Amino acid sequence: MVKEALGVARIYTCNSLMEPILRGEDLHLSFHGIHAIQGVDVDVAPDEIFGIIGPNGAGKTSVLNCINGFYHPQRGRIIFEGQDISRMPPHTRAHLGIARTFQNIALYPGMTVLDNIMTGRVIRMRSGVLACGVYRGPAEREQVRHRRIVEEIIDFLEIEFARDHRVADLAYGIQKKVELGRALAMDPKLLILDEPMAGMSMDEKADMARYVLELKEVRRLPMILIEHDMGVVMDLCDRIMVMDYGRKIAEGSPAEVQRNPDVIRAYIGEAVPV
Amino acid sequence: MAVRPAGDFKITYPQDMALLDTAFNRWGFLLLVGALVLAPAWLGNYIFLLTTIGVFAIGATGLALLTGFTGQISLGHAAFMAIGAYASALLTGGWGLPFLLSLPLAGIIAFLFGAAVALPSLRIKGLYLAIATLAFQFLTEYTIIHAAGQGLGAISVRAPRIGPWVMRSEVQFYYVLLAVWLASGIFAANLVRSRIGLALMAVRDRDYAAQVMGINLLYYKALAFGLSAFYAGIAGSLWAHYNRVITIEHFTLVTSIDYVAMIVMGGLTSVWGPHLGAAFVTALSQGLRIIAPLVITVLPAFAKIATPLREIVFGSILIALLIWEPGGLATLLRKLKRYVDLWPFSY
Ligand SMILES: Nc1ncnc2c1ncn2[C@@H]1O[C@H](COP(=O)(O)OP(=O)(O)OP(=O)(O)O)[C@@H](O)[C@H]1O
Ligand SMILES: [Mg+2]
Repeated sequence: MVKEALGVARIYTCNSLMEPILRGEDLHLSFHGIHAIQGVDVDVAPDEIFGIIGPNGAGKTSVLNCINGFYHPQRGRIIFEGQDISRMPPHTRAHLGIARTFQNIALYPGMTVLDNIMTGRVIRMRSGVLACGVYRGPAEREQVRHRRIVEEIIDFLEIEFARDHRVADLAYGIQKKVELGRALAMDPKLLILDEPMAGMSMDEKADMARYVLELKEVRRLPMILIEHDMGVVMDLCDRIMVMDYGRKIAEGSPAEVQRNPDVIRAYIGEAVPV
Repeated sequence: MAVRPAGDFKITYPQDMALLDTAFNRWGFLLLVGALVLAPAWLGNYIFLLTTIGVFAIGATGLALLTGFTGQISLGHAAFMAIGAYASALLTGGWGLPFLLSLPLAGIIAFLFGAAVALPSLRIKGLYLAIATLAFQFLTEYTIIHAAGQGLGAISVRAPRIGPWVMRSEVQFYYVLLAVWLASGIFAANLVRSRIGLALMAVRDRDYAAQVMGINLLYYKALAFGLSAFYAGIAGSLWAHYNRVITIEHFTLVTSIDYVAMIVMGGLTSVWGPHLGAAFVTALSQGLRIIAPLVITVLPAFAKIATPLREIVFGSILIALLIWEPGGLATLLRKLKRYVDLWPFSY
């Protein structure tokens, strides 16, 4: 039933009745002659999981890096909630509500799981240097308030047992969960996941898929998802963009994309699962 | 029959986030403060040792915030101490400001210099940053020597006064220092566990991930440099008013390197580290100063190593710690406490 309701929402986005939360227009990015992105347009609706797939080196991560501000495309614009963010540094975009995880885990290895996720709250806390140094009073109350939110995230991701462990000592799959938790702690308006399930066991993948769906259906959190596991992508995503050699070669619903002859050609040798 | 609970149970978040989170730690801290308050009674003339430790513990706390918690290396920490010392000497001497005002002002002036030095830290990292701070160290030494116009930047400093009360004795000075020492140590420990500390550690552990979490690298690096310089400035001001005559010799590269030794030996990522390190380095320096002449008289054959004895001993300890206990003295103590707690069992 929920699926049907979402199907309706999808029709609306296709008719562009809903303003996209994120729009990338005509993005071009090259590194010393390597054209990582060549004229890509992206639209992410405020209620969808938008997938990006493509072979290795297709430029998927580069698109994310343009969106969150690590790379500045040589041409094109990026609009987030109606505002041109093309020139903004990454930390400003984070304040606007863009959160992401990394293909190669980028946690803070020396800190505990709790502190890693707490750092996501730093932008939502207000205490200044003096209040923090005194601690008693406002800073402590704020810290407790945010600790509660972080504990909810820890519960949600079922990693209570790891709360006080240094993340460097944890298994890979758990680190991936912590990274999701850290991004969630920012209360993002758009969540970008770069291969959140890469290298995970089947069980861990199933957990991660469950979290992603719950975030979408309960929190109504729009997401961009890069993933190589086609089964996962086809199940989770509302719309998919396929990239190859820095270009968009197809876009549409999972079913449409799977039927597209260009996509099948790009994936030659790799059967696109139905 | 008294029943001891089988551990410390934390029921609320404030309890879990407390600085001194177990009864052992709370009582230990009270005992320590009590001992420091009573120290002048049984240390007598040796109170100067504790004063020295206190001053350098304050300075080292600043460097720990910068290097231990933010991951930025500095070989110019003594330069900020010099800036605080000379600023305070001029403010109280030339301008006649009271010590209680010149002390924080010295910190604030050093803070501004620190924040300015941080500007290149956005582009240069690691060893290159160390070299940049080294350049700042030499530049400061050079400027002070030339500005003072006379030998080695010697300048006399007024006895600290609070209102009409002039501090003349070592013990009086010690108590003022102790208050500043405690306050600055607690302030730093609070910073570390609050949102500021989280941001600094995020910058240390992975700067690009910190950016994605909305942490402005330039702001937090400048803040870390500024805070560390503030602590050095406070230490410098105290050191100036304690010594009553300062020269640049007090604040050379050797002092900067001593600071690095203190925080590494004490434990880079512990709020206790700089205090333990300052105590250890100060005690060791004084001890070696006594031992070195003895070595020469008793074992003339070893006279050659007696002169650089300090460097040899410090170097060996640093290397040994880096190999066997990178957590420094703070971690060693924690392990010792665990060992004693669990004795005679091994786990
Ligand atoms: N910082 C960089 N400097 C130089 N070249 C880069 C840089 N980042 C990406 N590239 C190049 O851009 C192209 C696209 O890389 P990108 O990481 O976006 O691919 P991807 O689709 O994410 O691949 P994968 O599936 O392997 O993660 C590659 O040829 C890559 O070598
Ligand atoms: Mg990639």
